[in-house]
Amino acid sequence: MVEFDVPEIDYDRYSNRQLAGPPLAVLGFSLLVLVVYYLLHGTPVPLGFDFTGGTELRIATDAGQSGIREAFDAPIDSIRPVQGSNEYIVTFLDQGSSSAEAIKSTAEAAGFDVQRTSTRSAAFGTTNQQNALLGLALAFAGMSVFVFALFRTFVPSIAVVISAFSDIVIPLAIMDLLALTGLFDINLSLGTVAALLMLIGYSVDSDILLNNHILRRRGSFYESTYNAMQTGVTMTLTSIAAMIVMTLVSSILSIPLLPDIGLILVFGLTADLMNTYMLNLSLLRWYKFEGVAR
Amino acid sequence: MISLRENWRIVMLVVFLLASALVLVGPVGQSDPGTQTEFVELTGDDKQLTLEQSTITLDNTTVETTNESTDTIVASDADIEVEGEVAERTNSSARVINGSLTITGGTVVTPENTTDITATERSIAIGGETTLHAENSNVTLALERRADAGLTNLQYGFDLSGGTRIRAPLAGMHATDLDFDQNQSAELNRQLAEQLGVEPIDVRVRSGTIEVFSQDVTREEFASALQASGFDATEDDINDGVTAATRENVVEILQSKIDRTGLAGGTVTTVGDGFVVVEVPNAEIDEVRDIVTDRGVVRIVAEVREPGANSTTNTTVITGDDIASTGQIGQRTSPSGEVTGWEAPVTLTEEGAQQFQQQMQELGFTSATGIGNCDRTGGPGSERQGSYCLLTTLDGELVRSNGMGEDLGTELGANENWPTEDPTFTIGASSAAQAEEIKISLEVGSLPTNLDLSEDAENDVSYIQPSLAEEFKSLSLITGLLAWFAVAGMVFLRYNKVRVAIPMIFTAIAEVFILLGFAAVSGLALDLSHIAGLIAVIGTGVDDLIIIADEILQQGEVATGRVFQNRFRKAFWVIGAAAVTTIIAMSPLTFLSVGDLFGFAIVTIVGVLIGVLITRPAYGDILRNLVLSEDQR
Repeated sequence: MVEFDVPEIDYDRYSNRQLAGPPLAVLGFSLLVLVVYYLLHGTPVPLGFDFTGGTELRIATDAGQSGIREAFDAPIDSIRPVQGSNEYIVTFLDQGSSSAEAIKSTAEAAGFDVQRTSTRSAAFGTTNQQNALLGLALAFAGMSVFVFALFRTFVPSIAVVISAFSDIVIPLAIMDLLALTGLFDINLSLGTVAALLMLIGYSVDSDILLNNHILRRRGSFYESTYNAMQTGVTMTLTSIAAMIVMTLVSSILSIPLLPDIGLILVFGLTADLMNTYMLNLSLLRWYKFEGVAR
Repeated sequence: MISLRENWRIVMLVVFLLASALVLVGPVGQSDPGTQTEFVELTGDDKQLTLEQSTITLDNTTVETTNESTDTIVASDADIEVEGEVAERTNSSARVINGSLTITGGTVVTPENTTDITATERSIAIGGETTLHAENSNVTLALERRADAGLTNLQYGFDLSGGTRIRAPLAGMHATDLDFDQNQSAELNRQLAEQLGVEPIDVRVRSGTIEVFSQDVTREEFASALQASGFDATEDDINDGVTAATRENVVEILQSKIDRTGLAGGTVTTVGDGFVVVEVPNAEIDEVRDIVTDRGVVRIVAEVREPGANSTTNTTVITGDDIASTGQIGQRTSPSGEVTGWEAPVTLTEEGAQQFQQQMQELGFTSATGIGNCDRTGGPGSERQGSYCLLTTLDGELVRSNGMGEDLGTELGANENWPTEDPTFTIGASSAAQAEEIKISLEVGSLPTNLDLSEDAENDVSYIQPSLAEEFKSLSLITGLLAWFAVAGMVFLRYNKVRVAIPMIFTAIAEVFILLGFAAVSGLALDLSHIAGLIAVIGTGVDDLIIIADEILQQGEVATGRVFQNRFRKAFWVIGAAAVTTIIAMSPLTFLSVGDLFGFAIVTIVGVLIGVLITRPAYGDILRNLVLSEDQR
């Protein structure tokens, strides 16, 4: 039977700087990507219609993409085919007068079978934006306060907070990069916001575990680290596996919402492996061997 | 022998599992599923009806027979039961052979020029063959049958049951903390309406609060109207949206309006900061949109043009407040038997009737020149005759104009006791649908304000085809199961010990099961966001179980029960801390309104609580039983 064991990494070979460098570089680069995207497009991440307002239709037709483009006067933002069927998801980000009903009746007049429509006004999108941002900020602040209250020492606490911050920023930067290179289009949707909040919870789990083992247990630093890693890496890999399956299955089956949540969590949890066992670990090692001594 | 006392955590898990099973599939909670309405439109090309053992409900529809177009069975608000053989159900018709249509409730106007269909008051017998035809009228047959309770008592929300959902704020603004005498409210109302150039019903004055519902009034105008009435109010004192009292009022009226319009299963709720959410399964957007944006203000206006005059004077003579009750709608026929229109008979309140009688007399409707003399166009110039019309308006739009009927006119002119004896009046309409709409509007009352669906309001209008929603249900189940298999696979690969892995993956799914039980018992309507939350719970759940297992199994053999307890407590410190962070991270979504994410947050939080309090402790006990031999316990 195949078995996986969490490899024991020889941390002794790397200095703290060598360990913390790559995650910090990735974080810096990610923030840079967000800034560049903001300068180019006016928002730090590509916003979906949940946040801009607009209309999304799911229609069945044999006319194909060109047929769909011909049928509508309103500017189409994107057409995504639904795998294994003659269905398409058409998005209009136009915030003009074209209401859901107008678009729906155009679609029906063109002989398309309208299966799902969703229209959000621009004002609704703006409120969603504000509330989502506020929600993320509150969740992050709440988590930070809790972590500080839990460990009551600065370095281990800030290590957890920085890791969690980086776990959120990296998936957002990946979204930007995918959008900028035109490889794949993921816009920020309600689902991705839910995933980012979820990420705060998931990301802190493995960090708390690591801190707990190193700071509150007997045994050598490396022994504790290995014990925590064995558990933590298994946890994260299990979650990544569940999320990869959810993303793949739900995108193949064209279930809305679930792929967005899954994909962001896959990116974020992968980033979390790096942040926890390189960035957080190096800060803890510094704290344990040098910080405490001071 | 396993002691129950020592294993109380496992006992608790089993109790919760059994309770969840009971509420999920047992005859608890929504034990009577009632009837379920399935809508079938007789317009598509490939729709086949299956009508065995079912009732056809024709709400507000016109069923034409194969004969002349005037041969109409109208069944407004009625249930028509078809007994007999229903055959040849095709795209737009169904044939009833030797059957009968039984009417329960409602009015039936039956065709007159056919011998194939005869009708008594409550039943229409169909001799020979008659085709129920729905050619131009786009008939929706509502097939009522005993609801299929489904496999579980779970309820499904918009994403998983389909239909239309509209989420919008209510149009209006209000100023609070105003100081005025209660006795002045009526006068204040009139004064403000005049100042703002709106109808009195667009202004509501109530203990210290004044609301304006018209979308044509700006904040500035409202503020200056308040100042003109002697209030010390500026633009900053005016709040967007309506008061909670008005919102409740709207929700109540909308709910009964939806119930009566025959849109089965529709719900109206308020969420977040002043939003109203209307969800109607099986309904199309435009149907629901009309209901939530039309306020349903019915008025009878007397339009008088003096002989030779060019202009008319309009006086509102009956409003919804003057009407005590409504009767069944019916057809209006000319003496020769031709259908000339529709009507909704109403009974006026005594006060309303007195006022109406007085106004009719004063305006000349009861005089010889007034009765039956409604000519809105008239002849040219000074030769124009006078005209006395009663106009029916619905939301300010003309529905029908009629002259004063001869019987009523004479009665109103001569009988002083009319307001107490028989204050009935028939409201004219041009179609059955209009008459029905008027009747419903009068019964439920007019909405103080409508849902604001304009582009600058924060609204969200969605539609999902019920069949697609049904698909999402099974597809998301598949997704969840596959995610669980992935987790199980990882756990097996990592531990390679069946006695550790099997309890772990079953504890994880037990958590979801209990969570579903919670959903069933609390009546939570499941949406896709909840499903995402459930899958997330499998993820966090297994993470915590891995922490417990590793903590207990690592560092050599567990020697004694004490050592076990110690390790278990250590694992719990981490789990507890992780649970608190997840709850903190999710809690902003419970009070900030961010689209549909409320459900996701609730499921995740409750899931984490169930996990930390019930399932994860039980897993610790299970593991102890497997790890410790009997005498070590």
